[in-house]
Amino acid sequence: MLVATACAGGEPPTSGASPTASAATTDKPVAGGRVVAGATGDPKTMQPIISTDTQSSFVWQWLYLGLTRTNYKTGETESSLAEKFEQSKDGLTLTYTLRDNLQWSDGTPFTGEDWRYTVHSVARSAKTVRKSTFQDIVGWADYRDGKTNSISGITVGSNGKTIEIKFAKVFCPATAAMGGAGGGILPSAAFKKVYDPYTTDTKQNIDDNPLNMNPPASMGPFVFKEFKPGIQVTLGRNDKYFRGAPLLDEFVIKVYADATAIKNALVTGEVTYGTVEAKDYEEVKKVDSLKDFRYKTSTYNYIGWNAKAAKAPWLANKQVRQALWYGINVDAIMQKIVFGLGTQVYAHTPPPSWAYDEAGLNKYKNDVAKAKSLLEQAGAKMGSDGIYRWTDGSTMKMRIETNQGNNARETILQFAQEQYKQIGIQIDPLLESFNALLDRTDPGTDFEGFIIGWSLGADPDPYSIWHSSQQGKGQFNNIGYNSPTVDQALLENRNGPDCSQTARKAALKKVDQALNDEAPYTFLYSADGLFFANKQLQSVDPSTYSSTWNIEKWWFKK
Amino acid sequence: MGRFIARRLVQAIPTLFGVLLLTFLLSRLSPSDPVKLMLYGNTEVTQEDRAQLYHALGLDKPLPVQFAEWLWQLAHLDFGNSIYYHRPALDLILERVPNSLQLSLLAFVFIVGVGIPLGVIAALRRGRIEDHGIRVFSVVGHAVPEFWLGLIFVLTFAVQNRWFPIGSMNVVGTDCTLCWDRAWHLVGPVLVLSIAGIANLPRILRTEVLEVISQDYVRTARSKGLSEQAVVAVHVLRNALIPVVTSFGTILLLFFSGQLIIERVFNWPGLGRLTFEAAVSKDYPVVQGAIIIASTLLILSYIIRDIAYAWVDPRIKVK
Repeated sequence: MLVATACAGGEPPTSGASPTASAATTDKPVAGGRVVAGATGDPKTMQPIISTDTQSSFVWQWLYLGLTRTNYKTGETESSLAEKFEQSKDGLTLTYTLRDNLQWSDGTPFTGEDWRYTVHSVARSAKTVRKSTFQDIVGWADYRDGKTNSISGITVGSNGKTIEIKFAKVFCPATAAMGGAGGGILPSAAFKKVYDPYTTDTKQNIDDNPLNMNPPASMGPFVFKEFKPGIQVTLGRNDKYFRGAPLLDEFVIKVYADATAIKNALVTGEVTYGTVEAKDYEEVKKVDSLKDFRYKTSTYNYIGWNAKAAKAPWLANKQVRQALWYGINVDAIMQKIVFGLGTQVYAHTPPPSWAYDEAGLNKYKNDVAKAKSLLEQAGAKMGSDGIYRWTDGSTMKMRIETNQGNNARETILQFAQEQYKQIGIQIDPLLESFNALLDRTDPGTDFEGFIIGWSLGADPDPYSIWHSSQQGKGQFNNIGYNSPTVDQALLENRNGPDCSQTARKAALKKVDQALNDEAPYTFLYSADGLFFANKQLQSVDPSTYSSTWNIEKWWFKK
Repeated sequence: MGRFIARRLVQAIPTLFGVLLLTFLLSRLSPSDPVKLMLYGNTEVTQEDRAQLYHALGLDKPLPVQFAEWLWQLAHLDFGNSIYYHRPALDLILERVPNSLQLSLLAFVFIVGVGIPLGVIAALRRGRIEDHGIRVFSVVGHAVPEFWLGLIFVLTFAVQNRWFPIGSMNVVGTDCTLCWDRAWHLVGPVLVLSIAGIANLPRILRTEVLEVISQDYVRTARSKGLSEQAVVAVHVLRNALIPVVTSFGTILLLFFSGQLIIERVFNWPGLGRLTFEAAVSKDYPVVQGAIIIASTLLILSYIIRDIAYAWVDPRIKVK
C-alpha cells in the first residue's frame, strides 16, 4: 500500500512544516507546505527502466513522465508531454507531437531524443522487465542483439518535436505503452554522460550507474532533493513543470514498515493522505482531521482452479467449476471482508474499465441445490459421509491454498471450507508463505485451488493471463486454461487489425462471456479504494487510476 | 593473553564457515526466488526477459558454483550487489549499522543500569515486598514477547495518546542525532528492547548475591567495620557479577534477533529491519551479509566475554 501524508496542515505531531503563505483568506489557493506520503519500503532505484517495485515507481513517477497518461477516471489514454498522438489507418505507424517549449528542471529542452534514448536503453538493459512493450517496433531485435547501433523503426523529426514509430505488426495498446517509454522518459543529456546506447556493443547498459539513485533532472511536478535510507525521500517543487509549478513546497515519501504503520501515521497526522484497508475504514473515518474518498478499483480476488490437477481431476469439468461458483456465497464474503465496500465481479474485466460490460453474464447467485445438481450431472455420486465421489470413485476432496497474513484471503479460505462442505466437497485448507504459494502454483506444478488477486493496469489486455500460450514456468495462465475462442478474441484485442475501442470492447466481451461460462476462476469481488486526506489539503480528487493526477493544484487551507 | 586471543580467533573460523554454509543453503533452498517475487504480477514479461534476469543476477548457475563464487567475493571483502537495490550489499548494511548501534548501546546501558540495582535490591530485601515485586516483574518481563509489547506501546502511547511518535528516528523536517526529537523517538524501541534484559538480570544476580553474601569474606569485611555500601559494592557485587558477564553474550544475540522485530514495529531504519525485508524478498547478498556481520560480532563478543572473566575475577586464568 502506498499512502501519502501531508504534514503541512498543522495536525500534531507533524514535521512542523506548515503552509508558509501568510494569506488570511481561506478559499484562495496559497503556496507552501509539505505533503508527506507513506510507502512500505525504500525505493530500490529511482530509474524506471530497471524498476520492478511500487516503492520505486512511487518516487520516479514524480520525476520522469510519459508522452501520454491515463485519465484518472476513465482509464483512457490522454495527452501529457505529447499534445497529440495518432495511429495510421493500418495501425502500423504511431506519431506523437510534443508540446511546445517543454523543459527539464535543469533548463535543458525536452525533445523526442529523450524518448528515443530511453527506449534504446530499455533494449540493452539486462535487468529490465519492459522489453516486450517494444518488441514489435521495426528493427528492435536487430538493435537489441547488437546488429545495428539504433532502432530503424524510430524517427525523431521536426527538431525533436515529433516521434514516429513503425511497427512490424499491429499492437493495439501501443499508444499508451509507447508513450510511457516503459515507465518514464529519462533526461538523455545527463544520462548520456554515463551511458551511450547508440553502439553495437551489447555489453554496456544503463543498469548500474550513479544517476539511477540520484535523478539529475525532472519533467514532473517535483525534483529530487534527498534520500535517507530507511527514512524518507524528499522532493522539492519543480518550477518548470509544464502544467504549472506546484503550490506545495515539498513532497516527502516517508518509509514505514507496513500498511498498518502507515494507517497509524495517517491517524496521528504524520502522513497527509493515503489509502486504508476496509477493516480500518470505520476507525479512520472517525478521525476529525481527515476527509474520506471512495472509488472503484481495477483489482479483484478469486479462487483459481487448476484444470490439470492430478489429485482433483474433476476440476477439468466445467459443471464442477460452475458448481463451485454456485456453492460459495460471495455476497457474505464481501460483507465479512470489505463490509460491503466493493463490487462483485463475474468475469475478468474490472468494473471501472471502459471495456466493462456485465450484460448477459451469469451472476452465480449462491444456490446449494443447484451446485449439487451440477455435480451430479457431471457424474459425481454422493457418498455415505456426505462427500461426493468422482466418476473414478475417488473422494471429492481437494486442497485450497493461500498466503498467510493476508486477512482477506484467509477469510475467503475459511468460507470456502465451510460452504463447500455443504455442497459435498471437502476442502483441505493450506496457509503458507507468499513465496511458497508462488512456487506451489507455478504453471506445471500439481496444485488444486488457490486464492489470490489481480491488480490490473488501465489498458484491458489480459493476453498474458488467459492465452493458452502463457503456461510456461513463471507465466500467468497457471490454471491451464485453454480456449480457442478466447485465444482468438485475445489476439483481436491485442493485435487488431481493428484497434478501435468499440472493436476491442467487443473482443473482450467474448473473453468475459467465455470465462463467466467456463468458470476457470470463481471470480469474487473487487474492493473499493478507500482514500483519506488531511482536511486542510485542498483540490484533492482521487479516483480509480490516479489519486494525485492534479497534485500541482493541491494546497493547504489555513 | 595474545596466544589465547589468537587461538580463539582461529577456532572461530570453522564456526563462521558453518554459518556461511547454513545461511547460503537456507536462503537458497527455501521456497521461491527473487526473480519470481520481482516479476509477480508483471504480466508483460517474456520468457526471454525472465531468463536474462536470472542470468544477470547470476542465479542461473548451479548452487555449488554460486557458493564458491560468493566465498571468493567474501575473501575480497565483497558482499556482492543487492538484487533489488543494484548497490553493494555492504554499503546498504553499513549505512544501517549506526542506527542499530544507537538502539543496542542504549538498551544495553539501560539493562545494566536498571537490571543490576534491581538484582541487588531483590537479594538484600529478600522475602520482602520489593523482592516479590521484582520477581514478578522478572517473570512477566521475560515471558511477554517483545513484538507484542512493542505493538501495545505504539497503540497506547503513540496512536491513542500521542505521547510518543509511532516510529522512525526523527520528525519529518528535523534531522539531528543529539537532540530531544531523537531522544523522544528512542524511548519506545529502547524500552521494549531492554525489557527482557532488565527482567533477566535480577533473576541471575539475586541468586548470586545471596550466595556471595553468606561467604566468610563478606562477614570478615563487615566485621572490619566497612559500611554496608562498601561491602556490597566491593566484596559482594564484584564476585556476583561473573554469571552476569556470561549472560552479556546472550544479550547481544537477543539484541540482534530482537531488533529484527523491534525495528519493524518502531519503523527504525536499522540493520534488523533491512535484514527482515531482505529475507522476505530473498535479497540473498543482503541477508547473507547481514548474518555474517551479526555472527562475526557475536563470536567476537564471546571472545571479549572470556577476556572479561579474567578482569572480573583474577582467579580465572586464561589458558
